[in-house]
Amino acid sequence: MIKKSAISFLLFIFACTACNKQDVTPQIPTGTFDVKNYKAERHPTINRMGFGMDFVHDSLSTDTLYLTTSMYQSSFKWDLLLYNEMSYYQNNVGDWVSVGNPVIFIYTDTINPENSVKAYKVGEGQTFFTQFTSINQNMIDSLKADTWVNLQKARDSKTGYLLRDSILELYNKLIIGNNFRAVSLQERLDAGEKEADIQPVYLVQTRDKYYAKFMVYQYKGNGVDVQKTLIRWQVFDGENIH
Amino acid sequence: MSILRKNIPIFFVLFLLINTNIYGQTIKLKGIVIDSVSQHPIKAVYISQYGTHYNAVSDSNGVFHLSIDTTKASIRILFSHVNYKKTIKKLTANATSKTLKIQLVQAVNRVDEVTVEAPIARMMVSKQYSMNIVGETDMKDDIAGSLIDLLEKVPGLYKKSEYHSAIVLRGLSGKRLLITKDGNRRMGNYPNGFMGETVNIYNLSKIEIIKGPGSVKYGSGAMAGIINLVSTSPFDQQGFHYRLESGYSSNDKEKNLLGSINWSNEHHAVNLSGRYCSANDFKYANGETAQNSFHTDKDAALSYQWKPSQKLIVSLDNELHLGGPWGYPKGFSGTNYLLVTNPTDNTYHTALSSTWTPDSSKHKIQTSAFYDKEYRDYKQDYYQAGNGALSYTQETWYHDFYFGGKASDEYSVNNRLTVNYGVDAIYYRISTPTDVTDHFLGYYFKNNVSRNAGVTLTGIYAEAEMQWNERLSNTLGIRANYNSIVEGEVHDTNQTAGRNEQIAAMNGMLATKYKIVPNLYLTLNLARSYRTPDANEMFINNYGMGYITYANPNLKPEYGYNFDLGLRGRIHNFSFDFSTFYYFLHQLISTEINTEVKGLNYIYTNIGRATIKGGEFLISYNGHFNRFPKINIDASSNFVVTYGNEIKNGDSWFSNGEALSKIPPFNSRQEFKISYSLPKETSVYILADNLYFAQQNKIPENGLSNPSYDVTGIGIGLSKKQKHFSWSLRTKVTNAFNYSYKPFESLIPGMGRNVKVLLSVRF
Repeated sequence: MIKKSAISFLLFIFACTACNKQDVTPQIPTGTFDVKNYKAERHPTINRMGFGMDFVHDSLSTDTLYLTTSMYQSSFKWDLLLYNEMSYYQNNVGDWVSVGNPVIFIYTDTINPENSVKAYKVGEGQTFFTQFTSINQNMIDSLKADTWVNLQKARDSKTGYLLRDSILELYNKLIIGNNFRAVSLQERLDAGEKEADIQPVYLVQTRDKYYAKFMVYQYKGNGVDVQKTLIRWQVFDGENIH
Repeated sequence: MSILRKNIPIFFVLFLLINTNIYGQTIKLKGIVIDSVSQHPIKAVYISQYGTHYNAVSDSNGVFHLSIDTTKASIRILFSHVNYKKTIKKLTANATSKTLKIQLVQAVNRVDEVTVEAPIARMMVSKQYSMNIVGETDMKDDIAGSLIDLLEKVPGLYKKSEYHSAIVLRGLSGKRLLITKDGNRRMGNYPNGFMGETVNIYNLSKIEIIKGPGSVKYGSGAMAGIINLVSTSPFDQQGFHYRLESGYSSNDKEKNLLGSINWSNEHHAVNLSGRYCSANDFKYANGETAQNSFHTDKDAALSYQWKPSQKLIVSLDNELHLGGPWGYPKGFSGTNYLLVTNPTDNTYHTALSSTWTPDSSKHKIQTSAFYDKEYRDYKQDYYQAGNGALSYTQETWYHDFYFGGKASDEYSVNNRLTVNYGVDAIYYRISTPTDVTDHFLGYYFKNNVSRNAGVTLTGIYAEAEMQWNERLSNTLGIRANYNSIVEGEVHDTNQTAGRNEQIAAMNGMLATKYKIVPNLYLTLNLARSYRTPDANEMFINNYGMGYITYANPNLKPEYGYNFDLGLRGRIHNFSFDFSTFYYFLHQLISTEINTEVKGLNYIYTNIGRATIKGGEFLISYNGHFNRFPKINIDASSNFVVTYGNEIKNGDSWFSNGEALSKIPPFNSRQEFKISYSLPKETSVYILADNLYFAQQNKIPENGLSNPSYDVTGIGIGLSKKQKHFSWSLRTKVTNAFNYSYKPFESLIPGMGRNVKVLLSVRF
């Protein structure tokens, strides 16, 4: 119960950790940035505190990390967080069922909104991701920060369980949210198409005001990656921003 | 009652003594039966005294003990074996006190009903279906640790993982493949059907693998074939006999200890056996430990047979298996943060069966009744990726029981026509209460999931086997099934009672066997097999790792329209079995993404149509060179190709759809064994085998394609017969070159090099 309360409470106090960034002059890096692919454990009982992604990290070897403390208390500063807290519902035979509700939070600072990460869906599919090599002012103007999500509102007042239906309502308001989930994409697949062909591609402005393109390549991986979600991103070279 | 219970051992010994005295007026004849050329002992020779009901069967060392009636004026002993000429030995009263040495002459080209006695991939070439037998020698030479170790020797079957592995035949697994014990169906408590880890293979005399549908005789589920586990008969040896075996494996430090006591006279036989086996985690070829792959097994079995005459035999078999703890190797499901163990995996099996051949000799009436009870504790521990702390535990207790029976008659109407007919029924119920502990959030709750859900399967069948002439025979069979599937006591809160569904189904077969020349057969089988959906698929939602597979009450039975074409035979010392098959599967029960519910979940559904086609070719040699009669050679090669295809709605049966999973690609196995007979009843052998699996390129979307691999094994053994006992010492090295590979469709590597030793003593 202490951990449960801590998670909810810490969602409110994250802002302070970002305050020291507000005076940083936005910079657009130049140079070649590799396409990066990562695999993250998807199961909610394994990926318990979230999988953080920091697009331009001080040490490039640690630009992703499974958090070990609640999301805004972590010393690892992230731009995006693949989060999957267990939620519960009662099925039609009266049993409690626990399910994961994977979501991607973008870093949101309610006290200093200018420090929030912003995102915007620019297209779909792996081909688009590859061909998306420059950004323009219209795209930058379309970037938005996420609405603040208070998970405490989704908890059952009696049991303390995070309720599946309530949490899904909250996630529906998010920019990336859970739009990468295979089940919602499956119905849209045309003949011959794969999931990676229709996964949304996002333009992301990082905490450090860099720009990157991002997509979930495959929600449920193949073979040895069957329990993992495959993620892909690339930071833009400043010369390609017009 | 307690006095009776305390004195059971005493009563048991008294019982043995009394029976020994009753029949103690006869004298014992001891002997050995050997091949006239190779001088090798011959197993399973039937030995009987003319004019009496005394008989015996030679053991694996060719040794027999026969009680004979010396009051007869003439003592004539008959020796018969399917591969040898019948031999009659006349004895004088003096000769009965000596140890007989009987040499039998091979009758290779003179008999039609051929059992190929090569210990490697033995086959029955005269059967309508492709049939392989894995015998006791195979088990011993391989020093097999589990059922799947033995099954992978048979073309069309493969091993995915150590100890506990899905059993797949011709691409069909689980509930589409029937496992029987002495002909009685084994059900199990796994969602995908019976697994083999609870089987004590060292208490079996052989395993019969019949490829092709057997739904007419066995009903629901016998679509791909039947694997029949055959118990050792206590009548195999007369008098008191003891067996002690001890084994050790270097890789997983498996320790195996087995013992048995066997007693029999002409009418009664008892066998009591026990086994203890314990293994640590095994190691991959790169030296890493496969964490959580340990296992422990304890077995006890008591069987009793009563043979009042040659016309009736009654058997009572009891088996207790205390399994666990055992674990699934870490990473088996694609994550290193889940450990799955079975702290308890117990089974109890009892069966009463009889075979009666009335005076007319035109009938062979068989009955059996069986009861099985199983209990398995299945525990899943999830760990946090961030800090490795225990995050979540889900523990399911599988309680299931089933009982059933069957009766059949094999009636020889005349020399040409035989009619088989029978009835059978089985009642199965399972409960799966589940506890959940969320260690991270401090939640705990209990679920019922299912309680007394199950199926009842009943059927009646008839088969007519017509021998039109010397060459051509047909078998026509038909079966009517009536099944009931029940939801049990856990049901929708809107219901007042659990749902149930009744399903009736018909299936049949037409088999043709044509003898081209002696020992060369062409067979064609057409069959309609079927499988009824079970409660798991119709009414009970199944909770997997991060997903739910929802039940579907609208499921229909699935049917297989099976075509099997075979050419098999024996030419001199070579035997071969070429089997091709084309299965058209209608209303196949599979899963698809459930778009009706939130999240990535699945639902059982009839997928319409699918096909599986392929073939197996097995060739073996068993014999010796004339110049070196003491050297015997067994060699075999098999080659297997399988391809599965899911057909989209509206497309023709022969169109190309999406590949089916669990369909092994091209694979091949070679085995070679050379034995040498030394003086003083000593023999040695050396063997080698190699398994090759090609990479599977035709895989379903999201499927797994492991690189090709080949694994080699080497073995050597020595056996010797002493005056009062015999012993053997065997060694087998599996994966001898410590090759790093991943078995077909496995997410984790196979075991690295493993040196196994088995010491057997019989007296």
